[in-house]
Amino acid sequence: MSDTPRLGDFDPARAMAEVAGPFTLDVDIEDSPPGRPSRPTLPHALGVFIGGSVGTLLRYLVVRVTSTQDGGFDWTILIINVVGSFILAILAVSLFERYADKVGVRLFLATGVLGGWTTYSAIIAGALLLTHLEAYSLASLTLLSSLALPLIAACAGLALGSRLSGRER
Amino acid sequence: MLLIAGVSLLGGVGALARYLTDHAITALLGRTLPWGTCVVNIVGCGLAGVVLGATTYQSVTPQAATLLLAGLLGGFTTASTLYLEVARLVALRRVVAGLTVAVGTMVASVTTGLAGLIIGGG
Repeated sequence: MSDTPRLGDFDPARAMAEVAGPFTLDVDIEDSPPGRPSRPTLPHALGVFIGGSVGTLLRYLVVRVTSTQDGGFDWTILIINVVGSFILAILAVSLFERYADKVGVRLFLATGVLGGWTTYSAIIAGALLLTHLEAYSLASLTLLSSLALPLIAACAGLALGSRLSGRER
Repeated sequence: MLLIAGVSLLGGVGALARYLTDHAITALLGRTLPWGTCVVNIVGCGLAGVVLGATTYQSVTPQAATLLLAGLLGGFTTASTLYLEVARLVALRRVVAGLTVAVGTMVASVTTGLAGLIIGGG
C-alpha cells in the first residue's frame, strides 16, 4: 500500500499545520511585515520616542488606577496586552498596508504608542513575584494566559482587519 | 506627578532603544522570524529581574523601581509586536515556527528573569 503513512514520511511541520487546520486563519497576508526596512532617521526616532512616552503614560495611569496590591492575578497587564495586540493586528493589515509608504505613521503608532502601551517584562516580573510568594499555580496561570490570550486577540485582529480592508477571499 | 512624567519619558527612551535594537538585529538576521522583538523582550526581562532582585533587598528605592520597571523596561519590552508577528506566522501556516517563537521567548525570558533576580539580589 503506497498510501500507508510510514514513520519516515512524518513531517512535524505539516502534521502541526494539519492539526491546526481548522483553527488556522484564512487571511490573505503578505509574507513580510509592511514597510521597507528603512534606516532610522531623526524624525522616525522622535516619533518612536513620543509614541512610546504616550503609550507608557497611558499604561501606567491604567495600572495606577486599577492597582489593588493584593499580590493576586494581574488582570490589568493581561487586558492591556490583549487590547494592544488586537488593535495592532487590525492596523497591521488595514492602515499600515494601505499606507505602506507612511513609515513614520507606522513607527509612531505600532513601535511607539502600542509598543509602549503593551509590555512583556511586567508579565515575567509578575510571574517571578508570584513564584517568590510560592503562588505557583497563579504564576503558571499568568504565563499561560499572557501567552494564549494576546495571541488569540492578534489572530482575531488580523481576521477582522483584513475583512475591514476588503481583502477577504 | 513627577513620577508619572518620569515613567512616561523613560517609556519613550525604552521604546527608542527597542526600535534601534530591533533595527540592528533585523539588519543582521533578516525578517524570517521576529528575532529583534524576541531578543529585546528576553534582555528586558533579564534586566527586570535584576531590578526586582535589587528592590527585594532594598538596594533600590520603590520610586526608582517604578521608573525602571513601569517606565524604561515597560517601554523597552512589548507584547503587541511579538504576538502580531506570531499571529502572522500562524496565518502563513507556519504554526510550528509561530508557537516556537511564542513559547521560546517566554521560556527564555523567565530564565533571564530568574538569572537577573539572583544577580540583583546578590
